[in-house]
Amino acid sequence: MLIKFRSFSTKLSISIIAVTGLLFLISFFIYFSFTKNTIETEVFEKSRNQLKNVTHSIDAILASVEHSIETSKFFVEQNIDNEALFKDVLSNILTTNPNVYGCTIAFEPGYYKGNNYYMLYALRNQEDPNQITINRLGGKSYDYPYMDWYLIPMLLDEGYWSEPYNDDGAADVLMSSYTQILRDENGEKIGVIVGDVWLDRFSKIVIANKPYENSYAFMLSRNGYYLVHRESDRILNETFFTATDDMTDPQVLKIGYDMINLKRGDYTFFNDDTLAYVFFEPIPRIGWSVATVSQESDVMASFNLMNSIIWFIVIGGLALIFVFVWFTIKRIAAPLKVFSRSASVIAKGDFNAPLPEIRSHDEMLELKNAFSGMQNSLKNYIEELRTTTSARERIESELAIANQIQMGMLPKVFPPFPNCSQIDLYALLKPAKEVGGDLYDFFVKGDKLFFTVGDASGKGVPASLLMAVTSSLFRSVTAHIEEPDKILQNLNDAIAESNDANMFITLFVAVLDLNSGILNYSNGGHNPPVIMTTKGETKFLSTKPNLALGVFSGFNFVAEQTKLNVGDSIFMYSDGLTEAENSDKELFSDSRLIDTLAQVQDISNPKEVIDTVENEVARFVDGNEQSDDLTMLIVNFKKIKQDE
Amino acid sequence: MRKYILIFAHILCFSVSSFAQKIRFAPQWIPQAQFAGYYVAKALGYYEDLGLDVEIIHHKATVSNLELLECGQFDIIGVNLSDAVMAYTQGLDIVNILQTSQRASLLIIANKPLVNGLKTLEGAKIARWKSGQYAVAGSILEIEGINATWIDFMAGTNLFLSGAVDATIAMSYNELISMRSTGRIIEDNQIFRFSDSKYNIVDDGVYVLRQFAQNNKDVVERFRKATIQGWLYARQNIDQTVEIVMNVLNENNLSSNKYHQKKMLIEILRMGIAPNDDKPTFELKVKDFEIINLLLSQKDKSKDSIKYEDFVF
Repeated sequence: MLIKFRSFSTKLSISIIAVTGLLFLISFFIYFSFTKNTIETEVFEKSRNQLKNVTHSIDAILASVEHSIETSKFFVEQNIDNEALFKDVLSNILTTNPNVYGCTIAFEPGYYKGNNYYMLYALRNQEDPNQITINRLGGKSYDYPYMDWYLIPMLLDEGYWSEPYNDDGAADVLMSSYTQILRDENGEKIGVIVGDVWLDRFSKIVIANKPYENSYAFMLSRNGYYLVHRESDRILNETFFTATDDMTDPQVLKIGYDMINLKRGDYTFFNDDTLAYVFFEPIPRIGWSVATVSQESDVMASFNLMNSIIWFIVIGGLALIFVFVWFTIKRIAAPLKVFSRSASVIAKGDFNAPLPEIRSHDEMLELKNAFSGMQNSLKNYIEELRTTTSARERIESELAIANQIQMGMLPKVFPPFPNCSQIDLYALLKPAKEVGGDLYDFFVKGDKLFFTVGDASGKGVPASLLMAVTSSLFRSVTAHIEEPDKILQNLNDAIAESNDANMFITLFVAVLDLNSGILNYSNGGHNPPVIMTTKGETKFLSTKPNLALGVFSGFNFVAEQTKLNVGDSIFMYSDGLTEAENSDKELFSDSRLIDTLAQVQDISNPKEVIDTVENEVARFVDGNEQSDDLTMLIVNFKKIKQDE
Repeated sequence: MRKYILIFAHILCFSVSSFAQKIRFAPQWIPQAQFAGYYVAKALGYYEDLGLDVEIIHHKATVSNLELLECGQFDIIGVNLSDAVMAYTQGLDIVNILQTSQRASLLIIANKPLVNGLKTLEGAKIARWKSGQYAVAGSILEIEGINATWIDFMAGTNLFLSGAVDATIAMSYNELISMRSTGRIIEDNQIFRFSDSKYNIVDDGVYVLRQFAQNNKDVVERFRKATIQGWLYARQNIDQTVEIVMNVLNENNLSSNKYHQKKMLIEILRMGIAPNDDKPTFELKVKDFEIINLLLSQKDKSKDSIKYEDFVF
């Protein structure tokens, strides 16, 4: 995947904008919720109060009509026989109450003076409200006993506000009538007295209720018919439910049911995909309900404007912050590019790469100082490295020469004595470093084989020097001394005499009499050799450890003797063999050495024995670094010289 | 040549129009979708095409059009079967020339569930139209032995909705729709549908005086044919028909709403197909006629039953 490079300044700027934007969003959300709720509460309060004023106004009109009719009803009942008074009563109602548009006194068919129909109807002139006309109505073409305003209250036996209707036989306007029942002295229903209110009067009150520019109000009858609406063709023509049949928001239906059930309420609903608030208030006296509908965009206009301004400022501000932060960081971080280039140049070995000029006293200056310091340190270090490398190369070269010299001191030709059939011998020395402290040596003088294996304390050059000294001394001492203990004693005294460095060397010295197989030996603190017999025995040679050479001058080493039978071998080694470590820090150990040697099939072949042991050690350490010099020497006593 | 043909066609049309038979047709009620087929036939020129100049006259609801037919104010009227049979038995010599309804739309809607059917209405105050239409409902309750108080009223649903009566006569295509449009819940168990009872007395048919029919056989047949064409078109084109109905309402300065008229039209069209038919037949079925005949003879045993052949032209 290709990872797109994004500059430090861009990333940091984006992070800052993201955090700032998030903080703004949280703040805005809190502000928005709080303010919206506050505004909504205020709007609700305002709309409810306005609606209450409207319903109170309408209710007051209705109450005044009820009052006029109820007062007049009593008067009519008291003067039922005085027909002439009826017109005065009706005129008085209209004169004293401007809310009454028309009024009626009507009797049950046949009740009044034998008339099938008796109805007096007083009507206010639309043009001149003070002008009143009173007519006699009733007949087949105006069969009032079957009309709602007469029939329903008679059946209900109580005062009743009719559903609004257009009385085309009388006032010919849209109106609602309040009916009170007239009774005779026995309480029998004899007719009605009725007051009409013109709906136009309410329309003006309702329509005027317009809390917001695009708000509109409407009024429903108890049967859900529109009594007032901005679309006049809905009036008494559509019910709320038929008009809203195509509206999908289920809230709308709830609004309708709540209104006809004379509940007070406020809802939000979707009107043609526009959110709107509706508030409604009932007029229980007549079963009507008034509502105002306000578009959310109107109600929240100032709030939305403020939100838009805030958004504009915030988005603009965020953009400005982004640009400012981006440029600032880019300017501050500009030296980093130079540092980056310089680092690349330095990586290629040019420590004099130019660094940016930093004038500010800040972290960038610290970085420059650190960078400059690093350049100097690197220069010095590389210079030192060059010197050191050169010295090391010289030392390594010298050590290689020393190694050659040291190895040259050891006999390396095998078989070493091709003309001496009594013995066969093989040796191996693997120094852990360029030069080592182990040594082995052997030579035949007369009928005797002199041989030794040793291990100087420490490693490296000091040990190798001690080894070289010891090796030279061994040759010079054995030129005139043949007893191993004496050889050791002489060597010890010689080494101890000039041993300011307090070094020492372990050494096993043996002299084999080729005529008898008698082996004289003395051990100067070295590992005991292993005797391998033709009988299959493999065991450590019993030795007195004595002391390592160079520790105490004048120490008397113990001489010991054993006899090798024909075919037997003596195997000598340094502690680099038994203390060879694997990665688990386990030592090769004496017991593994014995086991390995015991498994050798042909002990008469010295090279095979040493190869076997070497392989086994290599297998055991399993690649672990060799930590000490490894030396092995094996002598196989093949036959007695006298046998030749 | 084409030009001459067009001129000839215009002359022909003018002639037909000039000599078209003038017909005064009076449906039994104020303009509404109940009469949609006639409005369509007129609006789309089906009557004109058959040489009829039909004037659809909606008389005042306070007067029966049967009376006005008798006085000669109308040539053809629409009226429901029960009122037609009643008038016939009272001596008005009319004949059925077309039957648009094949089911009873008459209902009784009660203010509570009719758990025992019509018997639930024992002692109830039931509103009925003063005009006397569907008076047969009263006869049925009487036959069923139910004592109810009948309250005559002019029109509308306010009487029932005000709670002044316990039940009301209503039509499935009109008052029921109106009541439900007010937001009032009218459950099906509050409704007694005569169509679902043994008193399935079919509604609207078209009637003329027998003498008119005999003297104008051809006119009657053309009127019948064009009217059927109108109803069939209405059935296939409901929305367009509703628009035609709304235009008629506007011309007559009547207030209604499209929702109500559409629901009414759908119900009227549903009633135009008999329960066991799959299409309208426009004929009064003998068994439907016998139901009303039987009903009337049970009510007034002194009268002879009417013969189907005499009643249907």
